[in-house]
Amino acid sequence: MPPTWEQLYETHGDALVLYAGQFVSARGEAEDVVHDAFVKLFSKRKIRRHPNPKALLFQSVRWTALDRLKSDLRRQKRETEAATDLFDCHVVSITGDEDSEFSATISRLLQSLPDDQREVLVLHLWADLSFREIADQLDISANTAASRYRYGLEKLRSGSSELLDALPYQISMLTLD
Amino acid sequence: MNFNETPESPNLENRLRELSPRAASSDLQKRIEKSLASQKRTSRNQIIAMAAAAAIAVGAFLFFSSNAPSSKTDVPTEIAIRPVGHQKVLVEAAEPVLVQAPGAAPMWQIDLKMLNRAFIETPDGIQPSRFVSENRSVFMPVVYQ
Repeated sequence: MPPTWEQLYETHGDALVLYAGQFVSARGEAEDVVHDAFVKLFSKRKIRRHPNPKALLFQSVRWTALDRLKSDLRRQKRETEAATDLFDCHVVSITGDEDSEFSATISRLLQSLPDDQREVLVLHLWADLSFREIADQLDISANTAASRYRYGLEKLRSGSSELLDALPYQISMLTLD
Repeated sequence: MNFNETPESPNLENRLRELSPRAASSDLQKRIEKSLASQKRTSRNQIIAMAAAAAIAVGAFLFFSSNAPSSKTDVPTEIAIRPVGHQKVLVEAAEPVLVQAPGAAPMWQIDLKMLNRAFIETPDGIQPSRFVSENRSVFMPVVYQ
């Protein structure tokens, strides 16, 4: 039984908006992208036959966002106006002072990452996609996806080291699934 | 499949995973719901319209296949056209037919279904004899089935 759109929205809605926000310049636009992605998928009934609806949904958000970017670029060229408001990349719901500081730092660091690393980080950490799924989505190898993740994570770690100094340093095993 | 060992702190990953994306605005779900409902309505209306169109097409096909003329070349029928009177011709056929001049105005469609014959007025200024000689060849029989 394929999941309903409500189930998918409940489970992934916030992460989808976050992911869409990696492409567009305002939160409202990110929500528009998610809206359009849902409507596209469910009106075509593609998602019912797909073995991995979650991956398809994130892919649809990506394509919708890129389409929007292209159209925005065309519009900007016409209007010779540059977008001025950067996307406010909030990844957290703040629950306390410490979290607030940490999450603000992470948000800022995320903004500073190269697009390809940030995209993989968002997909792996908050969309919970495997490296294999990310690789399929971005049309790269799973090793490349893992490398981008590793580099991005290292930058976050070094950038937030003061906050993380208290945490023990360990070796982690990255796996494809 | 393990493919890489990285000197990362799993605690950082865990900390990051614990952060949740900021909640989407409360009306996003309602907007999607509305749009999908609207899509469903549109699809349903399209299906109804297509079904109605299909039903009309099938009905029309059945009607015409039982009542309408078949192909003009199905049954060759002899048509006789004779001038009668000042501006009139008599069209007669060996069997009930609809005769028509292809591409001509509707007035040149002559229904001989009942009597196998009909008088028709020739166009103004055209003598019946001339009409017959010039138009005989363009009348094609279409036989009712």
